[in-house]
Amino acid sequence: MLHNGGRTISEQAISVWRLTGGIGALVSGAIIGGIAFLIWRFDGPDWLISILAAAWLVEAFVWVVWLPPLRQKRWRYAIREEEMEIQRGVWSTTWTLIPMNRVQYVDVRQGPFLKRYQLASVAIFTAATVHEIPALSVEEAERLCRLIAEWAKVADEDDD
Amino acid sequence: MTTKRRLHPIAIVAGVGKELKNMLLPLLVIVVAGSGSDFSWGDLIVPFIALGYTMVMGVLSWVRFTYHWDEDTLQVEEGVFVRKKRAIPFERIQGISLTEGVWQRLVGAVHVRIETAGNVLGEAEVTLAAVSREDVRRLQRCIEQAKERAGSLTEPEDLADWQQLLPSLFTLSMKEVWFAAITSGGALGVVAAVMAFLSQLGDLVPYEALFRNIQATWNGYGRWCIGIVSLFALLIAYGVAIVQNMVRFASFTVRKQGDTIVITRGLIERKAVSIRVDRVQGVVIRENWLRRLFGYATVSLIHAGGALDDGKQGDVVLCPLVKKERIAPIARACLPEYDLDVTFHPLPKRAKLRYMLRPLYWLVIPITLAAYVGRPWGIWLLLVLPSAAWIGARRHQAAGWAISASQLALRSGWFRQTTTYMLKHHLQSLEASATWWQKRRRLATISASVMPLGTSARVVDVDEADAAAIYRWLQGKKGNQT
Repeated sequence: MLHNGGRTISEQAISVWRLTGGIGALVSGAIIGGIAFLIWRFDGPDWLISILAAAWLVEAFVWVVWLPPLRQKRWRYAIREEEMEIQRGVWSTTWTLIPMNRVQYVDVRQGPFLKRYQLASVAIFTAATVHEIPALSVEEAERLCRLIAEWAKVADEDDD
Repeated sequence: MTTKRRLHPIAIVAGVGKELKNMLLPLLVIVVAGSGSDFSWGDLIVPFIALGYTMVMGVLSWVRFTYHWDEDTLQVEEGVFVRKKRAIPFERIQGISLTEGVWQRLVGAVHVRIETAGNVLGEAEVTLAAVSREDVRRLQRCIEQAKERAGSLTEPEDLADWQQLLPSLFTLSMKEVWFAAITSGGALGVVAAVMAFLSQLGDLVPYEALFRNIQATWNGYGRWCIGIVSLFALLIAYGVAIVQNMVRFASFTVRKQGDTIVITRGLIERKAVSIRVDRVQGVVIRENWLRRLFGYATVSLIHAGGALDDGKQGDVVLCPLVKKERIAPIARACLPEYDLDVTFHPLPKRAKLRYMLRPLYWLVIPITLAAYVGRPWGIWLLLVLPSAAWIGARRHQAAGWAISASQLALRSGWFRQTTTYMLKHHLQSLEASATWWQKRRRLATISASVMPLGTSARVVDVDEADAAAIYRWLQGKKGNQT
């Protein structure tokens, strides 16, 4: 297990997550606002509206302010010739071990948000699972992709 | 063999029959809903069109379906309007399952399902609805020869011969078929529902007294009628489940031919499933509480290809019902690489409380509410809480793990205890995780994935050090330093 060894993902991941978290908060804000409007329109109790507003504020705070830096700090990965390891999670930590010779293929992905910050994510496919390392610099993502492809092949030859 | 072949014409009958069976209910609804109270011939137009269309399409798709094979590929062309060609290289074939349906049996044909390498994106199987036995044998010989040339392991000679006189490794007696049927999961659900219903009957009396004035009809015979009808419906469902299981598991036999496990079963539909040993990704032993009482369990194999046995994806039943002590020798004969005689490490004592509390997290509020609403009799509902905690304690006792040099075994569950044995070189990834609460108690969850996609086994609240040991066990030598 890595226990905070290994590499961290790009610090700009924080900005990306703040952005996506903010968009999520806007969407839920619209929904909550709609419900609050209905409560007000039909003379519902005021305290219910206050609770909804408080819930929305907490949600926005968690997803925009509090969680992104923690997530970025906890995200770690390491690749070696024989295997790769991923560590992630704030409330619950998950360590994933993928032997290199089980890797079937690797994808470099770049959505619109990642593109804005010149970032990319790497998805690693085995025959049974998919693992994604989010928000790496494009060069790092390509380096990873190359290394994994090379090592996965070598490990394969060893195996058979 | 380059000539294009068609399926046996019985495939039309079988195909159309199946379509009609699926259409029967919606058509009935249309006719009944459309006709209202008085019947007219006009109401039958829709069903007749549907019937005609199905039959024409059945014939056409038979005409347009051809297959042929040469030394190393099977080629299938199909599609009435949109033509689809598919070529399956023989060495990519993972398994073949043969079914003798009622129709196919009439003419001595077989329904053939061919599984290719489990590609997630593409279609992983080809179905030949009715092929004569000689053709199947010829096709199998070709596949086998192609595989021998490719240097892979030898295949069985003749799958189509059901009554081959290889020693059977496992059979089900008629008594066991019966026992398997009445204790199967689906049937158990029905029993539980009936029990719940019966226990409700006792409560009806005070309930009725409370709401005496609400609705005369509801208080009268109506409710009893509904109750009795639903009781009967449940019993009938139970009966159907039993009969289904009996038909399914009748004359169940497991044989081994070279490196292939061949499972034959079925009363009305006879079925043979063949699985290459090197495609088996794991062995799963399931014991539901009722069968466990009698010392029985179910053994299935995790298979890398698609759904060979018409059950779940990647799951093939090896022994529907077997005395626990017989499992190890059967598995040794079928899958010598696996060792089922391992001692399981229990979970640490400090995990027990967590197991007892876990079901309560989501039960406490609804049960308390229900008890409050349904008082005074609803108070008895509170008994659910200690029993849930008791089950949690049993689950804690049952769970465990075992590793040897080349194998990982994980066990969990109590109502349905599941033990999964996986070989090291089949593990696709291993995951250890710990929530904040788990970390405080030095516990972790361990989860291992094998093919096909999404198959995994896990144990919650393993000792942190043990989880780390399992993790390191899969790690390469160099990995230990980081």
